[in-house]
Amino acid sequence: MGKILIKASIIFLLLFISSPLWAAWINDKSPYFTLQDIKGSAVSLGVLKGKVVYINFWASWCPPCKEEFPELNKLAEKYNDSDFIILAVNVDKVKSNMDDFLSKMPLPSKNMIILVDPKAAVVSSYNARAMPTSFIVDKEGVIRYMHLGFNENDPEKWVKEVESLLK
Amino acid sequence: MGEGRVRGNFKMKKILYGFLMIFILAFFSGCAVVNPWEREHLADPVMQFDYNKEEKAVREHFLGTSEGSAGGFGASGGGCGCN
Repeated sequence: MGKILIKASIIFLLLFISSPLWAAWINDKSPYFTLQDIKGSAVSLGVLKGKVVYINFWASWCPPCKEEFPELNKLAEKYNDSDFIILAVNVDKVKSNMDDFLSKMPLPSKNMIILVDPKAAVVSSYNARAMPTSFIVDKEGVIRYMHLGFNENDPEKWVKEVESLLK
Repeated sequence: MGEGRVRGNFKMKKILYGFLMIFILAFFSGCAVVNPWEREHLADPVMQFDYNKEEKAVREHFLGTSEGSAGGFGASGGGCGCN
């Protein structure tokens, strides 16, 4: 009886602590995914090997995302001619909310691709801990930096981090 | 010696039962984790206590005049009358 109790306790403990273990973390291989962009074309992370990829999860209802989006666009423009790409993954369930958000934002740079993840399949595989959450993935597909939320000092940090990975 | 061992086992079982009950209760407590990407409705401004500033001011004024108390509508002012 005692052994059964010990086993049951261990199972419950593991169930409690296991969820953070599924999350994407720094120095982990970035989980591969394929999503559609706003025009319906499929974009896969796998084919972007050899590029520094900035993966950003955002939503139209998230106030910091409204501040972050133009800054991300500036970052994309700054590294327009480099091996750098931004995948801005929208997690809105209603597409019109995203369209409304984008209509109020500057036109995305050519290396900033808006992807849609309405079923939250990709954002849950990365287990984003905040909205917005960003991961900077190096040329080998390994997550090197992570940003939770957005604050005004972040753009400076992004530049330093991206430049360190582009070298 | 043998009796002490039996007592020790009984105590151990009690502790394990206690842990098991805590975990089971934690599972069935009705609490759910809302993932950050599922917080659309929680992030709505209407979910804030002071969403409507004018209504808040009227309610506070009403409370102050009818109940002789203030505060309790946010972080600042706990009804001490010092703010």
